[in-house]
Amino acid sequence: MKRYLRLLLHILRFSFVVRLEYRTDFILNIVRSLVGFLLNLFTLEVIFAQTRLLAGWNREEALVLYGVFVCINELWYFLFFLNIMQIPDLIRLGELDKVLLMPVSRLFIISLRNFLIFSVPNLVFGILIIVYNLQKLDQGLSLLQAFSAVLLIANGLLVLYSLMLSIASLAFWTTQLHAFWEAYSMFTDAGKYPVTIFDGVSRFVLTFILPIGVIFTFPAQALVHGLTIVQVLGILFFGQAIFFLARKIFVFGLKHYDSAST
Amino acid sequence: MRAILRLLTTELMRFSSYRADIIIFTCGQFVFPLIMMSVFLQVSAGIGQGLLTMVYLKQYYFAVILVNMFSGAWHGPFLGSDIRQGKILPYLMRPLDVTFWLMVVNNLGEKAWKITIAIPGLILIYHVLGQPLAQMTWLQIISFIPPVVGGTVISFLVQHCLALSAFWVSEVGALKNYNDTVSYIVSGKLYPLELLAGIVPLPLLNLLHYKYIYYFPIQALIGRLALDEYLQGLGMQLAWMSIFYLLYRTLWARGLRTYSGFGI
Repeated sequence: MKRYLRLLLHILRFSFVVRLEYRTDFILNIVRSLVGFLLNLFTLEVIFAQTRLLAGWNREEALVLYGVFVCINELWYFLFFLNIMQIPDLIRLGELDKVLLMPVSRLFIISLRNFLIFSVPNLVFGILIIVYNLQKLDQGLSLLQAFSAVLLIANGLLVLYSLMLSIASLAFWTTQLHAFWEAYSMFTDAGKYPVTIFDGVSRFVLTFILPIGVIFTFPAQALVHGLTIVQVLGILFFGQAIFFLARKIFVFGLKHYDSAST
Repeated sequence: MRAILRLLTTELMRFSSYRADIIIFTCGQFVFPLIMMSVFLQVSAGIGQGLLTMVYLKQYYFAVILVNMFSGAWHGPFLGSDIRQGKILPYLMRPLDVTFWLMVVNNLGEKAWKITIAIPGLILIYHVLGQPLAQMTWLQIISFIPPVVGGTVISFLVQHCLALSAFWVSEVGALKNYNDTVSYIVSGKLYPLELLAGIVPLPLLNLLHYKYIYYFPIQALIGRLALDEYLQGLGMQLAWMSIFYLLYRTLWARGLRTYSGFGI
């Protein structure tokens, strides 16, 4: 465990050094993220200029949900994005084994080789939005609520990571993945809004199949409305099941992999 | 003209090898407007309709999907990257602006595939939404054509001018990003522009070109424009097409004067 933590610190330092070498690029990417962040805030303001409630969520609650969305999204970009996006190229070029032969856990090195540090400012803004709007709601936050929210945010990140890893694993069988990622990112965009804006079959699909509800809405719900222990345990179990399946798909795909070097 | 038609045929054939990508990408294109429609249907249900009736919202967002398919342009960063890497050098030897026409046929070719593949999805969504444009007349359909063509030309020329900024600027992708952000707010792509009353000044909305790519064709299709508004909108589209065309010619001429690249 200590070894992995030390390795993570090295990777973090390395990522900063590499990205800060191109300062203009660094600043432009941060500004780009910030502009997207402000656009979404503006859209929420336009919505709440028309109504007090959106599918049962008021303005502050919806902003907490948006803050949770930003946190999970930016954590995904920070920790996993560069690495998961590189998997299809490594498979196509036959260089995946160079990464897998390193003396650490396969999933660790595949998923956490490089960090995208442009995400850090937006992550901070996401946390600030959550804290500010929770204060405005003035509902009081119990330790259990806060703890279950943190667990569910980690769980949401795990589910998002698992889905992206599963999509990346399709590269063992096909080279045309760009469209899958584009389509999936369009669906995850719905995570900014409560999953209750959808009805019937769409709500079920977007909660559990393309599990935007599990990833984004439930952690926010734990913060603003509260969830029972049974609900929290059920969602955590769901996350573990998705992660287990994603690992199985990746390992199954490795059997179809041919190296270009060894 | 023959060269351009040949380029178009080649592009159409080239895109046939990306069928799976185009199918999935086209499905994804339906998603964003439908998400925004779901949001505003909830808003409408909450406020007892008023400015945003459910019928209007369904008509509006179905029209957004249609206009998005016809008016899309995206080649700014790609051509910009080609300019920076010197890949356009072989095209500079040709007697016509192949760079421009190559982007035109790329755009038309990809759209031809996307629209063909989207037809079953469009029919399904149309019926799921309860046939929102069932009351549409032939006059509305015909009056939709000039604004959507105008919006497409403006959208394409904007992307082309962004691409040509690569003669001086390294981050065309960032410029496209900023352009897209402003477009999302003031074009009517995300939500009807009526919702911006009191937030963004009306003269600004009417002056900028963004509205004439999305909102104006959408209102023409739904039939919410009086004749004078329609003609005024067409006039603004013509004006913006002229401005961006002149900008393209200026940027191209100025850019080529100082352009150099590897190879030839």
